[in-house]
Amino acid sequence: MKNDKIEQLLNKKAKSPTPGLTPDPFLATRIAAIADGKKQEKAGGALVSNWSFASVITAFAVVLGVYFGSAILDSEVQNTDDVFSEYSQAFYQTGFAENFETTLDSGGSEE
Amino acid sequence: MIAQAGVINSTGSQMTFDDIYQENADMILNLAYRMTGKQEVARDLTQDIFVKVYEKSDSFREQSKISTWIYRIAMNHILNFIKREKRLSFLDFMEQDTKTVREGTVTVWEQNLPTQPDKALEDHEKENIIRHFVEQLNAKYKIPFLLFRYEEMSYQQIANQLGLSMSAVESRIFRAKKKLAEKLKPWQHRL
Repeated sequence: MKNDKIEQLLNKKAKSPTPGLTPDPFLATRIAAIADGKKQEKAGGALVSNWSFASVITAFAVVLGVYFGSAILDSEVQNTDDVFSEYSQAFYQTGFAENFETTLDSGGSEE
Repeated sequence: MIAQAGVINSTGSQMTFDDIYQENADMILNLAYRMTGKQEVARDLTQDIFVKVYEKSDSFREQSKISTWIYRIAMNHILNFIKREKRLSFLDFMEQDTKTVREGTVTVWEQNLPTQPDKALEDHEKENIIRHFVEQLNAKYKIPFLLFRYEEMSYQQIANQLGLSMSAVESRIFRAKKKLAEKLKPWQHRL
């Protein structure tokens, strides 16, 4: 009999015993700010990742440049060739000091 | 986006996000509260749901009523939360002391259980006891029973909402009632 009563009670639809709540009137504004913040964060993240990628590439290029530069300096390779030496001799202008020295040298040898 | 462009509702008028929130917040907050029984959780869920609404506004099709669309998002979100709840409470338990966890998990129905013994119960008190025991059921039985009893859904609507067959819904609600009847036995002289 009592079990029937429980069954009857459970079979019917009922109004929830949960008391009512009042929503926060300012939540909409906060949500808009949260969602916009998220969007900006995403955009900022992409920008930062672009910047950091560019920085890494630049640093790598600098290191690579220094490495190759020092490798060239240290090498035993002859950097001048005949054409270059001819060219420099043709355009080489003797200075006043050198002329003076030549004169002195030649004067001395005459004595 | 709703906030910038607004959406055209089924009556043809333009609505901003604030309009949509003011019109639907009460329904969503109280749905979340009815389903969880925890005020803070209900408020957090409401915020999450409206963030989703704001972000998904582009996918809103004007053929349906905006409140129906929001209700559907809310129901999915709340049901997912209920399914995850046990795991979450276990993780909370790992991080906090027992007392803090206990305070955070007490539902409004447990708080309002009748304390005077042998006094005839009023209808809302009976319902409060039932709701308290519903909360102790496994989510598998709890959710269909809640939707049937308090959200005025038919078996077919519950089946559609949960992606179950009609017979599965019937069987789960039947088993929920059976388990509840067992739990309610000590209270039967007062029901």
